[in-house]
Amino acid sequence: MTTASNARVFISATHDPRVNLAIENFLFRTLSKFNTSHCLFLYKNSPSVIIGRNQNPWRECNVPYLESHNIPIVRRFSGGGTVFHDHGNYNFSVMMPRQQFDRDAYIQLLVPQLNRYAGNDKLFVNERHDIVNSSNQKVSGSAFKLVHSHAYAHGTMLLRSQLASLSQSLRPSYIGSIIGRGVESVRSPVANVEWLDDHSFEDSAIQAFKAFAKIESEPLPVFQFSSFDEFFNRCGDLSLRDDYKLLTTNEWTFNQTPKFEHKIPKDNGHISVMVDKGQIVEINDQSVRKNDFPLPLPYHAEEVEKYIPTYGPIISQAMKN
Amino acid sequence: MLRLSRFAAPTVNRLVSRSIAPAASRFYSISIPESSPVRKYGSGDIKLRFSKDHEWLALHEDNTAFVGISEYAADSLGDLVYVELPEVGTTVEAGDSIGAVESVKSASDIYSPVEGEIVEVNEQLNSTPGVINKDPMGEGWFVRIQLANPNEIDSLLDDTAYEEFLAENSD
Repeated sequence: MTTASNARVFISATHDPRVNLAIENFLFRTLSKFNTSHCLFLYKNSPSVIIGRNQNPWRECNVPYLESHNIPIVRRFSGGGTVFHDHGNYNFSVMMPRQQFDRDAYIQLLVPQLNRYAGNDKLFVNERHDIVNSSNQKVSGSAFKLVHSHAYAHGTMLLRSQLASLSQSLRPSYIGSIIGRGVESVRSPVANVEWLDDHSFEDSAIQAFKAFAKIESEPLPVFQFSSFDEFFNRCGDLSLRDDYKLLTTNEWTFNQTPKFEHKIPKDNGHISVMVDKGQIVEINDQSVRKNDFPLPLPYHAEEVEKYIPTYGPIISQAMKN
Repeated sequence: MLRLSRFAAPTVNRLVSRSIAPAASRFYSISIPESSPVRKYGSGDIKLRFSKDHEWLALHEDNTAFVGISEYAADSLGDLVYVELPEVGTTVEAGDSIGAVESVKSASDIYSPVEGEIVEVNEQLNSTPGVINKDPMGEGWFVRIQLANPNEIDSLLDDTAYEEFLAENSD
């Protein structure tokens, strides 16, 4: 039996994706320290692309477009595929003891709460642990993390997201093919839940959380914060800064990508560009093998153009399209 | 050493905690199969230990230990689709991350239960991560570690203690 004293609810009013993901990870890491069995964290991010723990950002999204529009790419700690976040998308994260981990348990409680507002367009949980509308369009995607004796299930909820930006951001730009290990996203048609407002979503998420954590009647304190510093001052734990710092590094976002090969069509064959830890480590041409350029080099169009006179233009073009 | 720590736990407590374990709780195998490459590596005694993070460790007489995730951990993750292995030669402290696994949209980190150096990784997992689900204490081993201090395994759980830990944590 959970009591209000070991279940917590946090609502973030800051929209920096790195801050919110750092706080989410911090809350998850410190559940035992703060004697918490269950935690609900609600947050929205400014426009950003959030990739799964074991994904290749170049395969999943339009890196040059995102760079030129100052839309950050952030590698999260949970598994699963790539999602687009903006102010019209609400994120929920539910942390629980590992033995209670179930991919659907929380959203199965959330959906009936949401459907109180639904009219005819009811929502459903599908076999991929996502929430879909009556036209089978995805309105919420989920991902999970299990560490030590805890787990979390988190998800997106499309309410008033800019779907044109979403599809542009998630359309990869490369020419040729990217081959490598790592997790590939499953692409699905998406839609907003037009009939749901932020307040109704928050209320539904909290009601479902109370049912999930088996909290009967007690009022549940909700902690709201509006900046990293406010949260940091309240928790007073320096390690939170490390969570944040990691999420801002290229090492984590890009170089963590599993080794891959970018095959670029050329004449009747192709050039093979091998990339490990975000660095080009080898370039092979079918006919010639040349090593007259400095490797490793970052897998980045500008670097390639600058340092590889022979293959630079064709490779950078294949990255930018 | 093995027997001492193994029988150190008071028998009475063990019986009590077993009797309160739910009858319906799933049975998890916590022994190394006869056919396991972990067993075939050496001919001497193997000391088997577990961490509360659900990793197992099998220490051979040459003070290297195979490490993997337990059947409980593999089961709670579901079918694995991706494994990130550490590099051979990496030195690690107990509790350091030595890799990651992913199943149906679920990521999990693997931690080293001991201090030491990674001397071998199971490359087969790169192409067939699902082996961990099928044979977590056999073909699904993760890494082999040269222990800095073999006595460190005394701080881990033996099979009986791990069984109790599972029973207490599966209500």
